[in-house]
Amino acid sequence: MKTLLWLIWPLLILAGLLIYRYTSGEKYGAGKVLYAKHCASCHMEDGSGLRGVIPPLAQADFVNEHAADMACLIRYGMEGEVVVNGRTYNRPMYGHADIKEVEIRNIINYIKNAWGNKGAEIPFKDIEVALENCPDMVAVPAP
Amino acid sequence: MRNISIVFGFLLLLISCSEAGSESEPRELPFLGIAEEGEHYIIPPFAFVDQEGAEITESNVDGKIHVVDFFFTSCPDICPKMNQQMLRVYDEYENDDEILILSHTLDPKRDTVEALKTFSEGLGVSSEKWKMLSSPDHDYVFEVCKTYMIAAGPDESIMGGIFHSGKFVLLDKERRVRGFYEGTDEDEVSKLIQDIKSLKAEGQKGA
Repeated sequence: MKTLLWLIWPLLILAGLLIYRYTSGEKYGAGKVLYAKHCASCHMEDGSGLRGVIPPLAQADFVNEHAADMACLIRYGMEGEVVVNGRTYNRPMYGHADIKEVEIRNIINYIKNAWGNKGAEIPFKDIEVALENCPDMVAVPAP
Repeated sequence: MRNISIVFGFLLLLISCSEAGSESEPRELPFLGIAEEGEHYIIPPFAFVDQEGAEITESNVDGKIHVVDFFFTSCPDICPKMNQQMLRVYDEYENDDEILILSHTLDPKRDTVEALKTFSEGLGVSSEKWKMLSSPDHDYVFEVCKTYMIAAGPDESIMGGIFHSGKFVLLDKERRVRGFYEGTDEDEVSKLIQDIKSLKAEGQKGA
């Protein structure tokens, strides 16, 4: 009986770890990796942006109100003024032509659900439609 | 059971040691760079223009502890993080007349005096405290960064067109190099903020 208990212990711990792994946070793991690669150097890992210069994504009204438009912004970049949480920002963001549709979706869904953000997932179809209908945008070239 | 208590005891010891190490006792900072025996390396004279259009030379840092870095405003990779971390230094010492920050643009062609003014206004920082420097001679900065032992240069093969180190350099009131810190690393910049306190204490001792 005693030996049996000793065998069960590690199994219980392992099961607990596995349950934790598959129920916690990693739902947007792919988006998180893509965000780190393409977005974090300017918008920061914690989505805080650069004070007064690069807008935040964490707790940002813009993210909730323009989630689908973000597909176009990621692909083509943006220039001119943008107001986020009542503050005006005006630095060009360059386009990322190298990020595929499915990756754009992963990034947006990660942003919508990271750092205290809570938003409905965007279906892939909406991303496709948004990208087909981007306003006449000229890609902002990388510096 | 006994084994377990030994392990716990050891862990406790480790924790208490690391906490003791993080206390903010002033530490003695080294003098860095190569100089004649018995002397310390001193940054040679320089001349830049700040974001207000004013000339800034070595005389402006005379008697000031200063932190120096090299960046450019359209830099897409490490610079926003460097700026964010330099803001921490700025916030900590905003009202301390002993401290100055000098950020040199590596891209004076695009980062004109006006562009740097817009940038520093965006950050909301005072040009008295945090000087963003450029020069009408676009290659000059690549000469000056060497005097701070910072590597940088044009490289058309990378995004942004300029490679550069993200190090912050800490200098004392006599332009002697006292430390290098990775400007993209929060822990390193925390150490820089601590080391500035050590330098201030050194000044008070009259060393």
